[in-house]
Amino acid sequence: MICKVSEVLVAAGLLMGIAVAPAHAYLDPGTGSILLQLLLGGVAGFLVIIKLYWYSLKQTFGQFTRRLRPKQ
Amino acid sequence: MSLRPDPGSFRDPAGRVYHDGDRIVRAISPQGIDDWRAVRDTGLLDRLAAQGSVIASDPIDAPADFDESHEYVAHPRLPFISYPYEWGFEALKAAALLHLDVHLEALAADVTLVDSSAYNIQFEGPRPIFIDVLSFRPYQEGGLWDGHRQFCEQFLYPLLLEAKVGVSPGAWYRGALEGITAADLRRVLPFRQRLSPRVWKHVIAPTMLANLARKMDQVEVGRDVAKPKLPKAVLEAMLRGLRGWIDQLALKDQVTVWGDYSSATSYADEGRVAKTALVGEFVAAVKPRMLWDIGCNAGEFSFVASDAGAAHVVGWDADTNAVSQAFIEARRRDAWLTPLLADLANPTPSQGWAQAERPGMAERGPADALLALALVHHLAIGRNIPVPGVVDWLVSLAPVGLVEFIPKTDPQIQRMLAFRNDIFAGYDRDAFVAAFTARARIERIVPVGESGREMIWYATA
Repeated sequence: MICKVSEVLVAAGLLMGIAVAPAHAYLDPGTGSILLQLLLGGVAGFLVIIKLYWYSLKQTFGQFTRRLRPKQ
Repeated sequence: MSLRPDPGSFRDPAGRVYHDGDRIVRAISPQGIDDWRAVRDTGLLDRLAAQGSVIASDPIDAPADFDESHEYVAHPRLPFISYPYEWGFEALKAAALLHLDVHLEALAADVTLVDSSAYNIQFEGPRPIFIDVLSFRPYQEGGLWDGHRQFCEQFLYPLLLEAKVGVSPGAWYRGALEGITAADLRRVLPFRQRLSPRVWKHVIAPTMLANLARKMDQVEVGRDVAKPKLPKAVLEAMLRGLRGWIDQLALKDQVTVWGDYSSATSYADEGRVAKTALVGEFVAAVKPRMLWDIGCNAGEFSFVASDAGAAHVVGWDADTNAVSQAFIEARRRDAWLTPLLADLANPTPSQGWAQAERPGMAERGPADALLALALVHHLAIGRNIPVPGVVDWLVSLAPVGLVEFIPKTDPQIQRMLAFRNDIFAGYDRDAFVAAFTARARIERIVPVGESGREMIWYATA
């Protein structure tokens, strides 16, 4: 199951970049290693986005919960 | 003096390494000059050289008949070059940690490492030092860690093999100079290990992703999509994560093996005091710059030699635990001893590209002096090597040496012969002395202990 999820994830966005991965290194970094770093970079990127929008997310979520809370 | 190109220096077109007497000359090609200048101007290399983690580089003029379009630097020549497949667990671990520390310090100065070759680390005694200054390149924001796979194959996986599987990687590594692949390590890791998130990240995920990419190789080559990027913070986190992980790796069953060690090595060594005195006297007389202690065990007599004034000692032994123990002890004493793993009946050969890239044991000799204590019976009886062959080999390693002869009546040899026929008619004291007499001058023969052991001090010059 875990394999399936990650396969879809990778196939969805990451693999496209690999064929043109720039070869500035004199050694071959290896597909697996590049993909791993893209994933790690992706996860970090995702966290940064969450952090950037954290305030507005909290606001939205706050409004939503406030509406649910019974009025005093 | 003419400069001799190093046969192992060809991978990176940015530079080339030459041997020039007591120094190493590095030519930096026009292709690498801009990056080199940018890195040099950060002051990072001077700082790391002052710490002793990177080799010192002095700019020099182009040597006679050398291309003026290149830049040249000189490095001090290290007393001995060794290879990762000869290092014990502790040495490989120390090298891996140095590599990560150097990379992290470089990143702080906006410099990165373009590769992660374990062959770029050498040892001065037990202290690792980074020797390839052209591995440093200016860091570009978002740049991937190109050396990640190489780091894993040449440092992490061999360490995991020993720490998590309990298999010493030396023999495997010696046959696979680029290191151990993730696919291979994955197959031998115990199931429980495969569940570890760190193993998953650095071993399982890369193999899985590579397999996946192989299956989907219909992706159009040259298609214009965004360059893959890795934020610097993530790269630093990867390096720090690996550092923390490797730092706490330990030999499997380390405590029990080492605990047994001192008792196991103190067997019937009643001549220890006499031996220590003689080794000290020998070293004081010969004053070797480089002494090889073959069959060094945990380094007991290597340290005696070092204390008596041998400037540099390289120890060789087949026991991975003994070699690691010697390494730790050398670090504790700050002695110039590099203990290396070697099956002395099958010493490291010259190998790699054109069989010249990584010179063998003999090619890195001869040493100035040799110690071979409690060793020859392992070769002559343990491995059936005829006595004249053993002596031929010993005298080829150094022009002067101290060799211990152990008679068949010694309990240690009796144990070796307990389950085999004594087919070793040629193994006796007279044959041994005759073999030395035919090839060298015998300076002294000194009895040590009660069991008839003797030390033979030979000199060929």
